[in-house]
Amino acid sequence: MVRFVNNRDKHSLPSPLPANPLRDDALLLERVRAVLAPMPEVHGHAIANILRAVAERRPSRLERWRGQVEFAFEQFRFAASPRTSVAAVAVLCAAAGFVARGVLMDNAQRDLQGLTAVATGKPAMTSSTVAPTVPVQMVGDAANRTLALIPVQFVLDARQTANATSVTVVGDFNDWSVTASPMRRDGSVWSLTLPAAPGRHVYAFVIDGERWIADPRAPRASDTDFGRPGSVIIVQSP
Amino acid sequence: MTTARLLIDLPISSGFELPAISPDLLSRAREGDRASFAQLVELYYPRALRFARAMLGDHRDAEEAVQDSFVRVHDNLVRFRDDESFDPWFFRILGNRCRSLLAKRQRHHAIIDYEAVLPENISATDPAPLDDTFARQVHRALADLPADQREAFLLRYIDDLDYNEMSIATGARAATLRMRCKRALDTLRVRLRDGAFRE
Repeated sequence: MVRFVNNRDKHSLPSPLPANPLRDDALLLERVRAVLAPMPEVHGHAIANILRAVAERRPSRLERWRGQVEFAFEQFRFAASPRTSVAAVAVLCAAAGFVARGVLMDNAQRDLQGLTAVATGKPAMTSSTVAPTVPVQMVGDAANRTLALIPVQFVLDARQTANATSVTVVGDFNDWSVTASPMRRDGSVWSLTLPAAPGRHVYAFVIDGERWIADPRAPRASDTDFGRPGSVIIVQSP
Repeated sequence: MTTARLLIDLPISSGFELPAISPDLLSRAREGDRASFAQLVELYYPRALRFARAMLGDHRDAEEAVQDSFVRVHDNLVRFRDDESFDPWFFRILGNRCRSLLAKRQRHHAIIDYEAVLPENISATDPAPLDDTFARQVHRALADLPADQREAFLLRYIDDLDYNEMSIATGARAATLRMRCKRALDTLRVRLRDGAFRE
């Protein structure tokens, strides 16, 4: 026989009451709490263990850091909202991506600088329609690891310069300085090797410090400065 | 001012009241006063153990979780702000430790013997349950609940946190926590119906 308790009308009603969710839940909670709410017996040694653990706690800097990381990780793992979690993961992935990209690019740059490559008879890169006649030589400089520059040799036929006493190279790689890069005459050829960054450069030759001429055997530059003639060279990584 | 709750009001409880905590106890503990921290441990240890034991279903694991939590409280008390409520902050740390242990168990495929949490096995010195059979059913039904529902139910109905405090303690939104409580209650209602309404 089932008998219902906590029922105001239990003495007057011989049969079970109709279901009342609110009353039932309150009664259910009351009884569940009566089971779960009592405080457990606390042993003094348990509290003493905690206090001892705290008192003896002399963490090294590494342990302290590790504890803080664990604490933060737990806070994030269990308490962060899904949106925060996704955002944090995205930020971490982006940071990892940037780091990986930096490492990969650094390695590639080292490889580039470590290479010793020689390209003779042709410039680093020129227009395919106009064959360069100026032999440009690129020599990788493994020792020069701090600069990603490619040595480029400029050559000018002395017959183009008539009775010139000096020829210099000017270009965007030396800030168009007329005096910075004098060429040397070796027989019938003026030549000079300069370091230049990979990419497109505009340059010209200056004869006797006054007369600007473009490299007669290289593509002409359409964007010459101040209306002066210029040529284009494209320095390519070996 | 510290807004640690001074008293948990259990409207339908059997008179299990929590000891009061002085307003500046946390401030003194944070400043390194060991006596204050010891007092804090004494005050919160029973609640912490009750919660951890109900969450984990194992007395030894519960003690470990509580001890770890108090060590973390000690280490991070300097970060606790005066304008915060201590209960949610504390239960957040404790809940995290319990979840870590539960996750560890799941990783190791531990088989939990819920018989161990039945009333007669909890502690020889614990208060005797009001109804042994019903208490068995309660512990078993609670252990069968999903951990998030179990945690929400305990925080709401046993530790009497409101939903805002529960939100701080768990990181879940109040609406989510309400749903967890409702589902837990629904499950318990079905599982315990006979025992709860029969004498």
